[in-house]
Amino acid sequence: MTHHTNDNGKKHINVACIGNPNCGKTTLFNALTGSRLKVANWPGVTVERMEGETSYEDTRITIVDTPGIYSLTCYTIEEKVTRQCAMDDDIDAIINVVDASSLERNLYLTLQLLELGKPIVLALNMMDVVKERGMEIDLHRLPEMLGDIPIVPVSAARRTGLDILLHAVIHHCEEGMEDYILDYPPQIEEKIQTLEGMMQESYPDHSSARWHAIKILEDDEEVKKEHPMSVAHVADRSYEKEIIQSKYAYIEKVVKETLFHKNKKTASTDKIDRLLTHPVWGIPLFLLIMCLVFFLTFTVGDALKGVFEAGLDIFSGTAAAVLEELGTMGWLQSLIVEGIIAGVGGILTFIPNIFILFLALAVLEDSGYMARVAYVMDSVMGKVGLSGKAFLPMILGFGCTVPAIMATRALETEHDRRKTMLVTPFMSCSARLPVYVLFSDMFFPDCAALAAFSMYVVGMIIAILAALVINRLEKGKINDSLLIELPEYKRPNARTIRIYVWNKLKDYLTKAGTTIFIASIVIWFVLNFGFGGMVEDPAESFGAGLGRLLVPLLAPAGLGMWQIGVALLSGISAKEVVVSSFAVLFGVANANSEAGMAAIVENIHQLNPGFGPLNAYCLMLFCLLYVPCVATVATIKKESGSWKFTLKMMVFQIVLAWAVSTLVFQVGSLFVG
Amino acid sequence: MTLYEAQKGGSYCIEGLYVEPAITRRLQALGLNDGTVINVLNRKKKGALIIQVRGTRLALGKHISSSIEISDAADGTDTSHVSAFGKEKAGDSIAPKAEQSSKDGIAPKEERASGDGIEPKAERSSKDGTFQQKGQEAGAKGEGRLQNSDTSYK
Repeated sequence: MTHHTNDNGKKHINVACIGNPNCGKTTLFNALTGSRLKVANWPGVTVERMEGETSYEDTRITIVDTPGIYSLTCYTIEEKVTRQCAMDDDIDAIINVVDASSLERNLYLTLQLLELGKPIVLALNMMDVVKERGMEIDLHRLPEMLGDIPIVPVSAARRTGLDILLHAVIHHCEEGMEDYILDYPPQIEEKIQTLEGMMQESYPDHSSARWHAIKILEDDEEVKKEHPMSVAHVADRSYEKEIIQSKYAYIEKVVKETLFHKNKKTASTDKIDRLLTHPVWGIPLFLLIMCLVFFLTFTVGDALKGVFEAGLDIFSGTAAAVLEELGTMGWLQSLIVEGIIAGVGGILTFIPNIFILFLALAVLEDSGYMARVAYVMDSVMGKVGLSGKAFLPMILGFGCTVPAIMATRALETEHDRRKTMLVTPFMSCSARLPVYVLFSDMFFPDCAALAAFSMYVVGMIIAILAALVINRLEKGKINDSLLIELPEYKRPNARTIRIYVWNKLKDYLTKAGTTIFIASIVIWFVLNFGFGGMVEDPAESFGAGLGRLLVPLLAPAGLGMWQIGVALLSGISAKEVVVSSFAVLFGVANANSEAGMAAIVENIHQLNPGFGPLNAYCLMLFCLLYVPCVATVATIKKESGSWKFTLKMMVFQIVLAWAVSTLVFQVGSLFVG
Repeated sequence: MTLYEAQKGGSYCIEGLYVEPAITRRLQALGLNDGTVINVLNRKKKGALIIQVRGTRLALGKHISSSIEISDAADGTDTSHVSAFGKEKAGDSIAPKAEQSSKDGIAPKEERASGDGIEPKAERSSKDGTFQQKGQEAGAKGEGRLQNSDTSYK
């Protein structure tokens, strides 16, 4: 084994957590390393390789978390990451995380990993589910049938069995791997041995000649490409089917000998599914659930808002008084109070809404419902040429577009990925929430929640329509190749929810402290300085000049005010900044308070008496559809690897935002008069 | 028949996968192999369905489900499955040979499990099979599919 030793003589090993999707790798990783990575109950949550540190006795252990895989033969991007990790020479041992409640399927990957020849410790997770179902696993016989590897029952969620697991990893690492050989039918075994011999001859440094031999026999493109040998006489065709069937035949034997009282109690999930995946009621129920999520976000969030407002008022008042007392220069006072506090503080008062939104999304994701949505929406998505699986990133988009774009890695083809990336920004993210809340509260006092909720519906419809149009243009077909595992429903785990919501709130606070903070300062500067230095009237500032350039373009959409031009431009840094910029523009300390809103409405009416609910609605539409924030654009560039695609997408979004809001304004004007 | 035609609540036995190589591999890795028994838990009238296989639930789209050949698991396990004939002969003989069908039925789970290592099922899976019930009229279709899947295994 390649033990690494560092300066103080401590041993250091690298261990990878590898297992099927949704078997609890990240939960285990979090438990072992004290990290707080996102965990949820659907396959494909983790799309990146992550590292964390822990130690056991005198050994420092680097643990690597990987995206879930069903097999070491991979297609999607995140699966390749895992395969590479499994084969990485730096990885000294593998913790194969196995969902004990679906042992049969999980062991398939285990058998493949065993052939790699690396030290493997099997972490038997979800034993509590096994017990609940009235099943038992023979922990004595199981290792005997799997090459005597250590098998440690753990509960990643309850954090039990972890020390035993680490102990087993270190010991097993030192002892090395015993040769484990699964017997294949003689004709295949013969071929494997021939190829193994060839591998050893051509690549004497390789530690896993047998694994490579089997992969060549399975006609694995990558292995064949990396190890060019003339194998045609042995691997005359792909023997993959036989190899897979041999493995599963062996697994059936293992399961028969080690798993007892199978299938006693799995009914509850099926009962819930009968309702939630109902052929007729499935989609209405999904819409109802999303409706509930947003209803809670607006109503409960608004109810909690008062606390934050009071706090902000006191802070803002005190800051102004203190600055006055200290005799701070006028411009600095203005920058701090009217720039930073107005821009950042106003955003902070939306925390209750954000909190409720992410709490609801966390419960949704951890319950097991997410994967069902892929099934329920498959028929709709299929018609626009995407698989139901593409709807998962879109739902994540309700939280934040950046992780949603990254989640597209789980999709099978690059084409589907790009299409999903293109439409995901139309799903209203949490950053657009402040814009909706503010403008619907200001201009639709009687039906604010409805006006805001309609943005979510419009966004979803436009996303699906856009995909449909693209599909028609490409002359694409109906996509009906959905393939997704549906996990068991479970009661959401409190720790998981806490981590999820806290991470999101932290992101929000970080954004308020960085992007929004800087944007507020920049906005304050461009609004308070002109060519002649500091200006009294913002209408003479740089900002006004810039905004006026956009007025002719925005006028047909009912948004012909330079202030709106400035707000929309600055909103590209982060969507919340649209609200910040209004607060800074009108010097409102707390845009989200009644007084603040009244001040903004009054200011807007002073500037443009005709600005009514229709204009406000068009502004919300424009915010929904136009270029997403820079973070999203950067992510799309990174994930698509193409500036051309990214720029095309941005043009498309701007044109669409303009066209839709113009259409709504022009048609709406006919009725509103 | 194909999985797409399956009834909700029914129990079936997989006879063969006739879909693109990439998806075939994925399905095989998920444990959908010849002879695997699956239950249909739920389905839409036209579209995706949910099956239970090896203790897990999978949602499959129409494209995939209509490319999976199945037979009723309750009966026909012994007689329905005929597979081992060479690819050269794929076209001509759909008719089963008695000794083959007895040798490689789906039933011998016990036989499989009783063996020491893995009972070689080479004859059974040596090449893609077709089905007795489909009869001659399905021959053309079967042949097309066979060729299709043959290329995928080259």
